[in-house]
Amino acid sequence: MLSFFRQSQKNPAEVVRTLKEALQTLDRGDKKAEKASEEVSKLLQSVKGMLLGFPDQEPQTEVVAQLAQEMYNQNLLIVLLQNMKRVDFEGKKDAAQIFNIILRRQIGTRTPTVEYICTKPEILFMLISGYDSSEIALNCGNMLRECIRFEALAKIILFSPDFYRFFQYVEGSAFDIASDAFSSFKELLSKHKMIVAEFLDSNYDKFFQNYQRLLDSDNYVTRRQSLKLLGELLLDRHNFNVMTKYIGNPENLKLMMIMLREKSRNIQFEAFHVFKVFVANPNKPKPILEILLRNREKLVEFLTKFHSERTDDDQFNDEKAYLIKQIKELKSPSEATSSSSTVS
Amino acid sequence: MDDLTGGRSDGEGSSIPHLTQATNFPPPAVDTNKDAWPTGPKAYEIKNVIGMGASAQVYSAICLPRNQRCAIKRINLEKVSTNMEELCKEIQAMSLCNHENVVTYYTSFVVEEELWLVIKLLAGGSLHDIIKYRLENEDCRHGIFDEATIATVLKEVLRGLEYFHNNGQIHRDIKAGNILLGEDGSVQIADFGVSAFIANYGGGLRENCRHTFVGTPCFMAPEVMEQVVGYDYKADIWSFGITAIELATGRAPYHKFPAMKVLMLTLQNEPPSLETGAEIKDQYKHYSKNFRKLIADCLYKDPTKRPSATELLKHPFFKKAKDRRYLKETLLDHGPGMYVKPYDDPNDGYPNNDKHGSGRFFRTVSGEWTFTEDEEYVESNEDIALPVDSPLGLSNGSLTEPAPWTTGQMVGFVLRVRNQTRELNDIRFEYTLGVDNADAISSELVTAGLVDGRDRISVAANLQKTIESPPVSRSLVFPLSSGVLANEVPDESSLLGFAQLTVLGIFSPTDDSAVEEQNSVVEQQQEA
Repeated sequence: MLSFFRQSQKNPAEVVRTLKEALQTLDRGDKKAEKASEEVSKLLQSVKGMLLGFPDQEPQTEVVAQLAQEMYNQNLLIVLLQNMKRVDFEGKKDAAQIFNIILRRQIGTRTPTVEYICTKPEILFMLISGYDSSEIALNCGNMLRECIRFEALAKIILFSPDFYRFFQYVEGSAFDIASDAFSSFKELLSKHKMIVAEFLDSNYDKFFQNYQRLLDSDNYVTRRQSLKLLGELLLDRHNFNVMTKYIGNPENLKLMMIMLREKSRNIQFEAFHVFKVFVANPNKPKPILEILLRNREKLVEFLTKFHSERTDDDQFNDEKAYLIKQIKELKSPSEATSSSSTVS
Repeated sequence: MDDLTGGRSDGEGSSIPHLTQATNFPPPAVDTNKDAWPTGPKAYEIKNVIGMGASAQVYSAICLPRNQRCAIKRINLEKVSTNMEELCKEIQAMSLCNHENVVTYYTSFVVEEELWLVIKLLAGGSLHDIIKYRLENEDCRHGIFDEATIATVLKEVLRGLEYFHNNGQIHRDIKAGNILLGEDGSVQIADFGVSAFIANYGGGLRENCRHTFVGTPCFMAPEVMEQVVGYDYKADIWSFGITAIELATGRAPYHKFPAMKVLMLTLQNEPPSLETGAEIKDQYKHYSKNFRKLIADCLYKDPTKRPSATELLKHPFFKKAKDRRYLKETLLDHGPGMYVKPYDDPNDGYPNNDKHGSGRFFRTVSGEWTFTEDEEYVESNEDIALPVDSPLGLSNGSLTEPAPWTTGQMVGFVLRVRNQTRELNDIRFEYTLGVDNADAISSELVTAGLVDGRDRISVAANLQKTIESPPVSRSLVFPLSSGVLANEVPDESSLLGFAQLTVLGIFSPTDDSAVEEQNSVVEQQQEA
C-alpha cells in the first residue's frame, strides 16, 4: 500500500492544495463529501509517507521543506483543524502525527512552524477547544502537548483567557478526555519554569481561585491529581514567591489540614506534602501560627500515627519527625523569636 | 467551523481578564457526538462478575439508554499500584484503537474512588479459560485444539497485532489469557495493561524502542529479559509464537518453572518448540510441518530474524484458517460456556472481599481541627462522617494483616529497580518458603544482570526482612548501595538510589494457573 503512494507521489504543493480542497468539501453532507472523505484519508497517508519516509528510504529534506512551506502558505493546519471532526478515525491520527512532525521541524536553531503558529495563535485555541468534542479530543490533546513543548507557544496559552478553560476540561465526566486535559494542563504549568513563575506571580488570585475548585471537586481523580500538582508547584524553587503567598493564607492551611483527614490515603499523603511547607515556614504569619498552636496536641498525636506503616520510607519519616518537632516547639507570637531552617 | 473556532467563551475574547473572578465558561459537558457512551454510573445496570483481581473487577452490564450489553472494568484507584499517569496512557492507547481484533473501548469515568472502564462484552471468555476447561474435562494428551482452530484464532490475533504495530504500539503481553472470544466466534486482543506507545506521535519509524520489563515471563522474548537494548514490535512476535505453542499443548513451554528459572531457560536454551513441555514421546507429532515452521519463525532469538505481523499473515500455515462460525462451533459450543471462573475459590490467590469497591466516599466538612477560638473547646461532631478506621488510620480497611506464611507456599514478588541505563524495570520472581533463600535469589538477580552487584546484599537483606515480617502495605522501598549517578539526587518516590520490593501474592504450589494470572496483571502488583 505504501509503495503505491510512493509511486504516485505528486509534488508537495499539489498534495497540499488537493488536501485542502478535499477537507473543505467534507461538510457538504452529500455524495461529494463521501468521496472527499476517502480522498482526505489517502492524502493524509501520503503526506505522512513524505514526512516519515519509508522503511527503506529516508524522507527527502527538500520535499519536507516544500510541504511545510505550502502548509503555511495555504493555512492548511487551520483548515485541517476546522474539519478534523469529519476526518475518519485513522485519518485523525495521521493528521495529528503530521501536525507534530511539521511542528518539530528545525532549520538550524529555528523552528519555522512554531514561528508560523505564533502568527496564527488561533491554532492553539482551536486545539484547546478540541476538548469540547469527544471524537477529536485526544487527537487535539496530542497536538496541543506537542505545542506546549515550545516555550513561545506555551506562553501564548498561559497568558490567554482560554487557559482558564482547562479548569473545566480537567473535571469533565469522560475520564480519558479529562485526564488528557489534565496532562496538558500539568505540562503548561511545569514545562517552562520561568514563564510559569511569571504567570503565577502576576495571576495569583485568579489562578488560585480557579484552582480551589479543583481541590474541592467531587471527582476523586481531580482532587487527587490537583493536590499532587499543587505540591509540586509550591515546592519548585522557581515558584518561591507563589509559595510564600500561598502558605501565608490560613484558609489554605485549613484546607490542607482537612485533606490530611480525607478517607483516601493517597489524598492524605499528597496533603501531607503541602502541609509540611506551612509548618516548615520560618516566618509564619500570626494566623497560621495560631491555627497550629491551637491544634498543637492534636497535630502531634495525629502526625505520630500518620501513615506509620511507611516504615521504609526514610524521607517521609524524617520529614514527619521534623514536623512533629517543629510543632512541639512552636512558640506563641508574644514569645516568638527566631525559628529554624526551611524545607528546600 | 463552529465547534472549534466559535467555542471560545463570550466576552472573554482578547480582553484582559479580571483578576479577581473565577472565570465561568459554559459547561463543556454538552458533547456534540451523538454516539458517545454515557459517563455516569446511573446509565448502567451492573449484572454479574466476570473477572476479579485485587484492585479491579470486571462485570457484565447493560447500558440502559442504549439498551446494549457491555463489560465494565472497575478499577479501585486507591488500591491500584500503577500510577495515575500510566493508567491514563493505557486508556488513551485503548481509545485510539479501532479494529475488529482489538478490544473495543467505549468510555471511562470516575465513580467515587473507582475508575469505570466500559468496553465491549466478549461473552466467550478468554482462550485461557477454554484451555483450562478442556484440560480439566477432556483428554488433551495429543493437543488442545486442532490446527484449523489454531490457525483461525492466530490469524485474527495477527490482524490485531498488525494494527497495533502500525499504530506505533507494542502490546507486550500477548498470550491466550489476553485473547478474548465473542459469542459469535469473533476474536479480540485484550488487556492493554502493559501496552506502550513506542512511536509517540511524530516519532520516526526507526527508533521505536522501549526499555521496560513487563509481561508474563513464560511469554517474554529474550531481548526483553536481557534488557541490553530496547526492544520493538518483534517482542510481540515472540510472545505470539509462545501463544501458538500454548494453543496446541495447553501450556507455555516453561510453565512449570518459577519466573527466574524461565528467564534462564529462555536465555540459555535453544528456542522452545511444541515438544519442549511434552511429557510423553511423540505426544504432539500430528501437528504439521507448517505449524512447526510458524512457531520456529516467531521464536528466533534474534528479533531481526522474526517476521513482522504483516509478513506472518502470508505464512502458508494460515491457509488452514476458517471463519468465526467455525470458532463458534469448535470453541464455544463445546467449551465451558459463559466465562465461568472459580471466583469464590478461597485458594485461588485473589482476595474475595470488597466486591463493590470502597463504599461511600466521605468528605468531612471541617475534620476535627480547631480553626477558630470558638471551636476551641467544642468536641468534634464530624466523626460520624468518617469511617471508623480511617482518619488516623493504620489501615484504610482494605489491607489486612498478611496471613503467616508457611513452608511450601510460593510468594510472588516484584522488584522495581533502575537498570544501568536508568530505566525502571519490574523484575518478577517467586520465592518458595523453606526452599529458596534470599541470598541465592539476590545472587541470581545479579548474575542475570538485573541487579547491580553492589546491591546484592541490600536486595537480599530486604527480601529476607519481607519474608520474616511481611509489610502491611505489601510493599517496601529501600536504599541501594549503588547509590545514584553524579547528576542525580536520591529520591524514593522516583526510585533514584532506591528500589521497591512488592509482594504480589502467596500461592499454593499446585495452583500454577493462579501464579500465571497474577504475574500478568499489572494492577495486582500491590496486593494479591
